[in-house]
Amino acid sequence: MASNKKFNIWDFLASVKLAVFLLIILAITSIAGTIIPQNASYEEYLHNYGETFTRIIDVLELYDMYHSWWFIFLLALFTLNLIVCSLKRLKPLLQQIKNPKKILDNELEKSISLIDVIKKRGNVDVWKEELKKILNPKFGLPYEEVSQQNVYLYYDKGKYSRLGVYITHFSILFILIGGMIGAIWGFRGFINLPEGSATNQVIFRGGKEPYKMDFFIKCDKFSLGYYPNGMVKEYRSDVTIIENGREVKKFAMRVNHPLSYKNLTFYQSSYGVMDRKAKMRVFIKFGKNAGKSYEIEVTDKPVNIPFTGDFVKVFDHYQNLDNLGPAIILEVSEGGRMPVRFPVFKNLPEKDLNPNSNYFFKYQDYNETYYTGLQVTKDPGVWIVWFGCFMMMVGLYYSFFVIRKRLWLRLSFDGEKTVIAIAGQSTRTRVFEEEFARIVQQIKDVKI
Amino acid sequence: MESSIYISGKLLSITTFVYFFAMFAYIIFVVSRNSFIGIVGTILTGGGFLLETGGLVLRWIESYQMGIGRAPLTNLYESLVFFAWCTAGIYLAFEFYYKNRFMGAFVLPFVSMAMAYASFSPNISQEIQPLVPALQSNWLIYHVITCFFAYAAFAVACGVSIMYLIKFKKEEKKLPFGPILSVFPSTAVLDDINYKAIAVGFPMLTLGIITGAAWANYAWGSYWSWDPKETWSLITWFVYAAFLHARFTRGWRGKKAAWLSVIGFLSVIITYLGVNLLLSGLHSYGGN
Repeated sequence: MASNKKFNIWDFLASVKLAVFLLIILAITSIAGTIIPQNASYEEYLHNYGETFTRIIDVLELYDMYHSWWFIFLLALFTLNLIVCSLKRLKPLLQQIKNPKKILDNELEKSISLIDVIKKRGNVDVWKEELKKILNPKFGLPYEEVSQQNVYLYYDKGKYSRLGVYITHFSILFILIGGMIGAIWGFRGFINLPEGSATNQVIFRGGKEPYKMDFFIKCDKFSLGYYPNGMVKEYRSDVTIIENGREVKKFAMRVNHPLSYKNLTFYQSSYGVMDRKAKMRVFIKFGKNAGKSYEIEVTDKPVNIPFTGDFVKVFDHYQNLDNLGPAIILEVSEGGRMPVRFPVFKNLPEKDLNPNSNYFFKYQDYNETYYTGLQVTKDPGVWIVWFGCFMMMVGLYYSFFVIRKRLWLRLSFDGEKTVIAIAGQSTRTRVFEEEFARIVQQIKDVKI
Repeated sequence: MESSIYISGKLLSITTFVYFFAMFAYIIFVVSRNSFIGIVGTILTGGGFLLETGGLVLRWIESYQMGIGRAPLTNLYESLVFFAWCTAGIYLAFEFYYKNRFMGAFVLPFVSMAMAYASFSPNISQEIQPLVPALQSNWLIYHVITCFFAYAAFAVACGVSIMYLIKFKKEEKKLPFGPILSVFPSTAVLDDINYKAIAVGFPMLTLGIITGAAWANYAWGSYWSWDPKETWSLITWFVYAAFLHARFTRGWRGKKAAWLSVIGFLSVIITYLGVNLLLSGLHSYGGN
């Protein structure tokens, strides 16, 4: 009884029906994670979905559904189905490939649908050579067997095509294993690096202990490149790798041009302005100091305007504001009133865009330093994934584009003519039927 | 800059009308069974295809003249045009191979709708824009070509599946086919075409997903991040994988398989357009 039950589970796991069912279930359930935002905060779900649905999200782990217990379970079941189903069918297939039926006998003759018998003048040996002349270029070298009365030829072109399915199936295992290795032994962290500084620490989201690299990475310069229309053309970090105090590598990192060093890969991922320094001349418009002017350095922290109680800071800077060229946005706080923001254009030195203020500013020079945001990835499984992908393409190629074509021929002499029995079989019956008919016609047309 | 200044834009606008006429010719052909009109449909489709090829090549050249220089495959407008081009091309190949023009009435609507959407939607910019840093990669070309080749093959499969379902409905009830349905290819042939188209589309989709993953790994350091576009491409892949296995399963052949092909193409449309229009993610720049 026990063995009988086990047999049933085996059968269930090996069924293609289960595969179809699981593929459809995986397709349907995967939709949820594309609609419900992933990895959002509890409050966000509560706000967007209400209490009941948030509880469902919580229980079913829909906040991170592709790593939820039930999705992993479905994937595991799918994998098990894949393995069992493949192994069950692979064994007889390999046997069949290794030891196919090569002889056209009565049994095969009855079971096969494509079969024809041709009678030709001439002896068996001549016809054997003649047939090989016709068929070898199309079907490769045949297996030959000679019995007392008959000569047999057997062609098997693309005999590995049916292995394609199993190559594809096992490639999925490689991809999953590679993914798991990456998830267990790999990591993804970040480095925020101000221009001119170096670090060996990779930080992680969620307060995980930083990772210490055995070398330093230094950002020499971060720069932005623009197209003529003002769109960003490139984000670029010039970096140096420093190992044991020695500079070992210089690299210009851009998006789509990552830097690999040792087992880590660095990607240009973000940037920001560290600090801004503007050289400006400030003119006093009213009061006892009216007409006086001072050279000052304005930064992104409030700076005291000389001999006053008022403050100014750089709020922002534009490469090209309203097509009028470079502009600094200043924020001035006067007499404790609400700060006022206004632009100062480099190319419009006489323009006063804050006329009610006691101060007038002239743009002289502007500098900003950046920090570059790098993503750091370690993924020891990625090559297994690529191998799996390659294998999958090979498997799909064999499954869909390599067609197995088999021909069985039996030549015998009936005392007057050579009797050629020819049978054929293919994984693509419809196309092969026509080819088979053409071959038969070709044989009929041969004149010796 | 407006699209009207591009010569390629003019060519592609004309193409839209040519495909529309081709679609009407095929539909009239199905209703009237006048073989001359069928030939007109083929000529119009072929002409539209050539015109569109010219338009795409010209757009490529124009981008170089503007000093930008990139393949015309980088925004929604260009991808719709490219989708129409692939679908028309694959359709013509199937029409030639199967010597049957009736499929045109079911496939050309996809082609002309894609072109009409690209040409006339006010939300779609036809401008030739330079590439943002993330798109500056050769992977872009491999990824887009493989994906859209797959989408086009699936569009053909979907059209044929609709024909199959219409014809099968009568066949099931043992009703006479009537003058129109009787000239459709037999359900067996339609099933075969459906399978062939998916047999081409599925490996291409797989390659499209793989090249996308390779590119993502190169640009962002992660080959798979369950981004909505990625996930939907995988959903599409699951559906067609189910289709391919359904053919070997009793009770799943024929009608259910044809439905899977139709559902698969709906999934393609969501992957391609729905995600950009309704959801957010890494491919959001494809949405304008």
